[in-house]
Amino acid sequence: MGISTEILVIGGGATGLGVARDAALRGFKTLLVEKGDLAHGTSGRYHGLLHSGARYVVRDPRSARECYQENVILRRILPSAVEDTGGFFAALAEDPSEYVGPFVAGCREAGIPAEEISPSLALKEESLLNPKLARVFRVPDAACDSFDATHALAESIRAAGGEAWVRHKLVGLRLSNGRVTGAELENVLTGERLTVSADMVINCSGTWAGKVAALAGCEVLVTPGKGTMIAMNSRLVNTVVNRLKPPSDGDILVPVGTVAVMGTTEIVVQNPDQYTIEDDEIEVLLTEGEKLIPRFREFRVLRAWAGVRPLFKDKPSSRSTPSEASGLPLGEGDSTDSRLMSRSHSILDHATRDGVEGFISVVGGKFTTFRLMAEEALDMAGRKLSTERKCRTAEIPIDLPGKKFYTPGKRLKEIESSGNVEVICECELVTRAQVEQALRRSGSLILNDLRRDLRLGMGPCQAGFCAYRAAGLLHTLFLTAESAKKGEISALSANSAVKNLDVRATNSALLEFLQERWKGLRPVMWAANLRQLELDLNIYRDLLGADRLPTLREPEEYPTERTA
Amino acid sequence: MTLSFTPGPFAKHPYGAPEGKGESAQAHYDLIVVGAGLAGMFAGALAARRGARTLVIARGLGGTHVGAGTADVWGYRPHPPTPSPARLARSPMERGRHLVENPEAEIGHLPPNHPLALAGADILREALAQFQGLCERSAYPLQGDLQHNHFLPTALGAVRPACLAPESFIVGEVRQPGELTLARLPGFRDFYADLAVANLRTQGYAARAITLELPRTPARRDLFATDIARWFDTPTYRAEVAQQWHDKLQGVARLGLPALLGLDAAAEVWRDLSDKLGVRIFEIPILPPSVPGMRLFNVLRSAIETTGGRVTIGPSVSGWVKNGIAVGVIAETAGGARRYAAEHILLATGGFRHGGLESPAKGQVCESVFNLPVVAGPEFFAPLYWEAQPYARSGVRVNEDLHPLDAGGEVLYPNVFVIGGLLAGADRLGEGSREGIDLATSWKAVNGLNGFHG
Repeated sequence: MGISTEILVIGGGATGLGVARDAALRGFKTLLVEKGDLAHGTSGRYHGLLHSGARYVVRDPRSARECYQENVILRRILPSAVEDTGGFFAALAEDPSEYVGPFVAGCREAGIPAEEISPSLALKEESLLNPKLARVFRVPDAACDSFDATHALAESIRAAGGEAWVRHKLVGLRLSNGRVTGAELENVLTGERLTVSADMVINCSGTWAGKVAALAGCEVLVTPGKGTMIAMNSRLVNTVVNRLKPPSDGDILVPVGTVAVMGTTEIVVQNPDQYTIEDDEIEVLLTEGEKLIPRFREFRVLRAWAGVRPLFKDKPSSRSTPSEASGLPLGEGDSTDSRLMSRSHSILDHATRDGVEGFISVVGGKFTTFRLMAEEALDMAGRKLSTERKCRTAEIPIDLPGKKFYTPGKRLKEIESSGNVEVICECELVTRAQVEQALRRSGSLILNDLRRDLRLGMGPCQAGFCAYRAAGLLHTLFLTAESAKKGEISALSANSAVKNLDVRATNSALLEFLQERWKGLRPVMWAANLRQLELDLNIYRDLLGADRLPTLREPEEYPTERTA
Repeated sequence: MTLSFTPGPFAKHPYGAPEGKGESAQAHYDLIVVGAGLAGMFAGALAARRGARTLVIARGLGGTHVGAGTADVWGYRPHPPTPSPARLARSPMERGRHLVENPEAEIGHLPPNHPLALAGADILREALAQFQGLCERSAYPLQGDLQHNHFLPTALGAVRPACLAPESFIVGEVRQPGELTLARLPGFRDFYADLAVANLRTQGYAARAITLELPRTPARRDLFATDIARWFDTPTYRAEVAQQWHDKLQGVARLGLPALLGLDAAAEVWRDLSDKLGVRIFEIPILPPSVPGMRLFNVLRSAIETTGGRVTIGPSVSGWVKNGIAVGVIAETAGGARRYAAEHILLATGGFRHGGLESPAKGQVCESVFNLPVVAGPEFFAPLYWEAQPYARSGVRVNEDLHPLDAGGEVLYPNVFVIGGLLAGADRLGEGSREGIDLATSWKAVNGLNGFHG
């Protein structure tokens, strides 16, 4: 099977989705492919901060300016995923006072509004904060839910006439006469292969960009910088709180939805697909959390996870011993500590760089600047295709008409105003209709995707009750082959790994969902979490005997979920 | 696995609760049982029946409300604790645990510190008989014996071994002849018949699903098993159900329903409905709260209260120690701390799930009532969710009379007994040994009370 497109985008994170949207809005025939689910990689594993840029003003002024510019734009075009929490940069007595001068000057130079407020006003607004605050600045930080953002982006791509396929893995790039002319794809659920010919392939695979570039014989070195975060089971603050000091482990607390995320650590890892969350990382986050919010440790930690930043520097970085964060501006060649590596992005034209035409890589960068990266990438692609078209992404809203900012109260309101709705996940108020709709839409038979779509299983019971119900609904949908014929679950029949109705697929989906939750829980397993674990294990291993059911595969063999 | 002592978190009082001076007790009991799960309630019922002035006191309800409602003694022959991923085959029997047919044959060669080994097979057998007798007297008979496990279907269609089970469960024994017909109940979110049927068939058991509507399903709220169980307690509801379902059940050999057939009159509900429908009915345990577990709790509560014992649920409880002697418990109530003195104290507070053990930080364990020393292994959690979890063997180490021991192996309080899930050395979930341990150690402890040999 072969199809053709003008622009082929590799990677379904914020960058790839942003690039595909930009391409589609410029009128290019556009296809995006992602080997896992949308936001499966780093975009779905970040702390949820829409940077004001103030974090970077001292060391990385270009990133700072770009962040602020994009912050203003995204608030306007993506209101469904951005919550205007505002942000504080707060210095404790122990934090270096000499950082304040360069911080204030940097904000001024980057044009980022930073207003000093009294510690007492900050405490009035955020009463759980450490009362011994030395200085506090207010900046225009915001919170941005990356699951909501990536879904909105995908809808906007489709509305602009483009396509975004998940569970399609790039297995090869087609080259002819020094030019990338298309790609070889595999549907990871069915094993089916297909060929796409494209005028331009844009590599947006983030931390995995080196692997994709290598398929065209190009060398791109991306340093995977692991950052670990913990979600607290309550929204401890309503304002993003940053520590006013050089970037370091555990320097930020972000309110996102019903939780607060404490982040992050920074450790260079060898393999972005295999890393573990270490106990001492969790300990650092708790210790720093305790400084910002006294008795932080007494609050329940909901889960831990890590994302792998795509840090890029276009030459082999010579890493020796990590140097102390010095607060000095980022200079050329001082990439000894991955935290000192620029968060800025680069658009690589492989024609000038490596002599390979028809191929662009977008590397480095951060969630906040995805739109800008896309604009620059498509400007380059337009020039290369000799059809320069104007970028319109800053003006046209990402949100489709009628899309509103999501609050948990919205679901409650819907539930209370409708009939017998059967709440499947009590923690996140997910109804049976929502689960069924999401299963039909995704067509992937993977319960983990419901977590990203609906937040199913993200609450304090950690899927104890909803996993069985979701598996039951999944199987019931699957079973009704007749409804597939009627077109009701066409996505399932077209895309399904399982041609015949095999219960082992349901069992695999259930065990994989539970194992995925376990990965996030194991690093924070004490107090209430251990209690919850015993209850949940009692349900799945004892009452239901889930561990003794036949499966298609073992969860660790599952093709697109990484093993932590 | 090597077990080592973890020091308690309260440095000033390494072993034992803070001592109080000069406070007087509000009541005196022969026996105070802390914990209202199966172990605590069974011990309370046994002691009260023997005439001991008995108080069962607990922070909350116990394991009965989240269990299957069966008495499991030994269900699985586990694999070695950490199978390597390469060893995990795709067949469930390879990956999971082997089902045990004869529990008695399995418990003969346990390590000496296992709670069932501490109790011994004779005590276990007597305990099961006592428990069966108690349930029988409450018109809620449990069937089975120590040599045979029932193999019962789960709500996912796996097979679950149980030693003693209520009559309403054992019709579903998968090895018995007769196709299993499982009911879809539209509007009820806690049971998925099609999924269970598909899994049963994959394992070679004849099964199918049928849709049965529950009468009087409310239009605007979620349905809970406990609500439906209470409807089934009334004869008029059963008559309505029978009228609606009767004709749909032609040719059904065995009808499986989620476990919600009555709470207060369960045995009667099961018999009456089976008669009215002309079909053999069985129940399948579902997500908590457990209706069949609540029935067991109610049986035990009424056994305690009708023989003069008392059950108090609500206050958090800590140990009351005077001059190194355990004299009773302190209950934190809404009206302040109340002190209850007792000759004997049974700790039946359970493991982590029920608060007998607490983990204040990763890898730390402490006991919640007397701050007893706790043994725990060096590793706590397995990388895979469904593997044997090493933390499960944590608990309080005791001597052969079930008295708690200090690090040197000396008895800490000779009038304190530890029973049930608080005991170290068992992986109750992995072994399927939960109720066997609860019942056997309860019976043993109550027999060890001076002056109450009934």
